[in-house]
Amino acid sequence: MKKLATVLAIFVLASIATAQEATGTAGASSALVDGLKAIGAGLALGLGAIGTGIAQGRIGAAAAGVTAERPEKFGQMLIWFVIPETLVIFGFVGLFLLR
Amino acid sequence: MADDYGYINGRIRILRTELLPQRTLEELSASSSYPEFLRQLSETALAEDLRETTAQGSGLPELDAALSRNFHRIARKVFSFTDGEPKGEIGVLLAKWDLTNLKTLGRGLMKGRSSETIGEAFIPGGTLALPLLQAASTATDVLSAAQTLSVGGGPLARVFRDAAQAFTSSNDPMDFEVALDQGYYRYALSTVKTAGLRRYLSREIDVRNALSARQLRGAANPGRFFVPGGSLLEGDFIRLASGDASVSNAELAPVLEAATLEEADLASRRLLDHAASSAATSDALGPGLAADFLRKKETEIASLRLIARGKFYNVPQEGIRRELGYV
Repeated sequence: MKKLATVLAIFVLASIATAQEATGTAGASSALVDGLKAIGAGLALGLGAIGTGIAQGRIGAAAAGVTAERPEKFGQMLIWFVIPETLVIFGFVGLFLLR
Repeated sequence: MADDYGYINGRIRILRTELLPQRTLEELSASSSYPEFLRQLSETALAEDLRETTAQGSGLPELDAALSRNFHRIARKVFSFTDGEPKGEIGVLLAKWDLTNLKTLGRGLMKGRSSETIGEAFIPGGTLALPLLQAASTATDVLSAAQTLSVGGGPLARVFRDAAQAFTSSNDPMDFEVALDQGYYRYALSTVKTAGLRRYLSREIDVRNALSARQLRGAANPGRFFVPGGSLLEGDFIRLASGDASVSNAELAPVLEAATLEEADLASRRLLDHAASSAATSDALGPGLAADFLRKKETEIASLRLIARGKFYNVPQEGIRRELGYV
């Protein structure tokens, strides 16, 4: 849990850094809005990726176990393994909507 | 913790699909003869271990050896894909057969049996190497055997040494076996951290105490045979051993109130089967699944031995079903 909080903090800081970069090019009035959008976009993709990582870690371990016993189950396990990727896709959608 | 068992439980779930379903066991018990039973059995997942059982002149000893080989292979396989903390927890489950083998060793040495006779009675499947147990069986007494086991015998070697000392001071074989049980469960509860598996072990201790209390009714000083670690307290155990069958834990009532020892044994097996199934359901991401699988595998092998004997000696199907607990 501690590790997860650290990773999350890094992502938030990275998002803020991106936001600060954005303020350099935007006008003074829209700087705050652009910055918040960039933070939101970063969080949408970053949190989605973290969730996917956690889910795929567990599913991957179980899928590796199943495939070790029954190699013919590889295809079925691959489908289960990629299902959490939808979280990143949703994050991407969020990112593009905010850009 | 959950991540540690993802890979292990994935493999165990697949191994579980290879266990013989009850329908197959019923069909085997309904087979017309022993050769027919062997033919049907050779069509199951156990086929690869059964090659020698169909040879000319082979009988029950060959089948027993084949079933032991199958159990040993599966138990070693489960142990081989564990590492770190899960290795300790699953090792505790496999050490149950070490405990049985150490009791066999102790009984054999106390009765002056030959090392060959003792060696034939060992059940392969535990964590102790069979050559080590066989070397210990050549000792002249339990204390010498404890010295042999101290080289590579792990935590149960210390338990065996303490039990051997308990036997030497009282000369009572019961003290030896109780000390072994107490030592094993002490080691098991100190190793296992997962709540689900601890609950299962606690139920095992309760069942063991309930069966002991039944057998000790009327015995003097029954408190020394109590194994701590379960939900039953020593006071309850002494009360049960004095003849009182009422117990606060209602699930133990079928064991305590059974009319015969066979019925009590059957009730205790059902209770432990249920506890293992509950552990697998409630602890699906932990060692509960392994506990349930190993128990089901043990039951499968025991059932096949029973059916084989029934078929070999032409016991009626109803008799076999009764022994299996289906009636």
